[in-house]
Amino acid sequence: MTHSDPDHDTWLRFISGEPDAFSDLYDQYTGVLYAFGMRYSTDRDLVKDCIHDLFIDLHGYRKNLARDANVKFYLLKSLRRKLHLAHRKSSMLRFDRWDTEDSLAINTFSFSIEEELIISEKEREILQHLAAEINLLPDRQREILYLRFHQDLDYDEIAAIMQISVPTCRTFIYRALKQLRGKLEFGAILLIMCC
Amino acid sequence: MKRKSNKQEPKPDPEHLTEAERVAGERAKLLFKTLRNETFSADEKDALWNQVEETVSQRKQRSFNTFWIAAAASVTLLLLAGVGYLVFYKNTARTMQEFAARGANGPDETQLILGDKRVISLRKENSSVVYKENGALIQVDSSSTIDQQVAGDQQFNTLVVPYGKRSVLTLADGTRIWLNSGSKLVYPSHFDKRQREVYLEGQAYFSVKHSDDVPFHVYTRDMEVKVLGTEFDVSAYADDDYTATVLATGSVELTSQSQSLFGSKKMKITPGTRAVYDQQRAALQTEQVDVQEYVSWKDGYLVLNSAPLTEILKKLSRYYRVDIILKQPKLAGVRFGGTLDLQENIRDILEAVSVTTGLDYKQQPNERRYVLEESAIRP
Repeated sequence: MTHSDPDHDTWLRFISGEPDAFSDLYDQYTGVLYAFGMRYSTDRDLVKDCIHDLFIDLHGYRKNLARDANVKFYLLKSLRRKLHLAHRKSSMLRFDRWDTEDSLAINTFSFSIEEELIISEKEREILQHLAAEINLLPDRQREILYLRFHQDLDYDEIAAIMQISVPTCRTFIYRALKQLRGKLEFGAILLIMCC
Repeated sequence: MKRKSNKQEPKPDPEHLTEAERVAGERAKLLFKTLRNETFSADEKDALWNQVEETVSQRKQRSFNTFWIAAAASVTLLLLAGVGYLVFYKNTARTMQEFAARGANGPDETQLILGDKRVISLRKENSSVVYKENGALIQVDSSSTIDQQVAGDQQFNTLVVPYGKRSVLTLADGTRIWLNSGSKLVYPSHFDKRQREVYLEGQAYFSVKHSDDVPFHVYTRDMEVKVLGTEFDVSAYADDDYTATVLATGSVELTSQSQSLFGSKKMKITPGTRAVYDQQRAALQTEQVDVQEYVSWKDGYLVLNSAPLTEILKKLSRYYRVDIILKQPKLAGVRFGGTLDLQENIRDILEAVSVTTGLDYKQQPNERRYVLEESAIRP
């Protein structure tokens, strides 16, 4: 984490109470936060409410915030906690689902391989297959892959966000990759047989 | 969640991956770069920001400690006893004028101030406010909505538009009001059944919904405009020494100096007429004008038939929130004509003005200040 990047400057300006910094912080992160929140929910208004509450908290506690925090990580973690609380509150009210666990599940992923990547036809098929396999992984493993590969967080940060230990986090990602490898080989064989 | 014991797994560590696992990881990484994200539209973003700001300002008001609330309450009670006595004998126009004087002067953003003292900031350069359901629901910038109490005592809302911004207001009766830069409009949170009354400082274009039974009054410092349903422009800037009304369609009744000692003058004007109240001469005069010249600002351009340069520069400095200094006093009263597109930035506009007037413009180190001076290169 370098401390001279402009994003971090906004954070420092915000903590020191500069009036414009609050709206700058909002402008910089709200898009990322919204995309992140919509990973866990399909309810746009719920996600917006959680972002609203998050910024109200930030404004209220600004004097006590850590100056050297990784801002994106901190915001993602806080938003996920808010979503989790909101989710638990709503599932507590639904009696038909009282026996289900209250963990926050990540939605299935939608990739745009066609538009984003310039790759060979064969590689594309492998990736499409992989995409389907990723969506079949258990929720927690998919979430880790998302935080690691899409949000570029490190193991310590992922562990903190998901409230698991760092070794568990490593185990999860190892297991996910092992499973994907196994499925992929199987898929590749199928492809060869079909051709 | 089902969880297998991982005791028998060797080295559960991504750093010790086999080649195949590493490749799977690389591919997953590539794949996640193409993840489709839900996008947050600019409108939604602005709307949510308005909500955040609204909540923050409410919190601020609540965070006074109890001592000060108690102290303030007892002082307020004493004041109310006095003020209440005075207000009781005053008409709505006076009350609204006092509200206008109270509203924040010169904020950076357009502000909507509600009867319960909530302040809503509108971030857009050209914002919109729409009242629905008899005033109980306010839609801001076509995306976020705010509730307000309309039952009980009459309360006033204030829309403050700073220099450099504009706003379009739609009231619950369907009347639309375009507010120009540097303007303030005070109006009841909902109209009663007999009167529709608003108070204006600055410039606004009114498109009043017709109602035979409920006349619409626009009060300004020096002039009152009464209509049943028509379109007209009122200009009543505090730093101008005149108040003017330009009628586009229908008819209006003007009353000047309604608060003066010598009583008031009443006058009806027809479309295409501009009525000007001159403060120094205390006189109301009329002239026939090209209506476009006075109302085109609401559509984003400035039509000038034959306007003094100082007037043009004054309009531009309000619209763009800049200071323009004319270093050629000889040209101050010289009249110019043409059309300026207000969508363009101030530098392009000043370029056009410079070409027409034969002057040069320079931007001062202070970004909002421009100087128009004699061209260095003589033609």
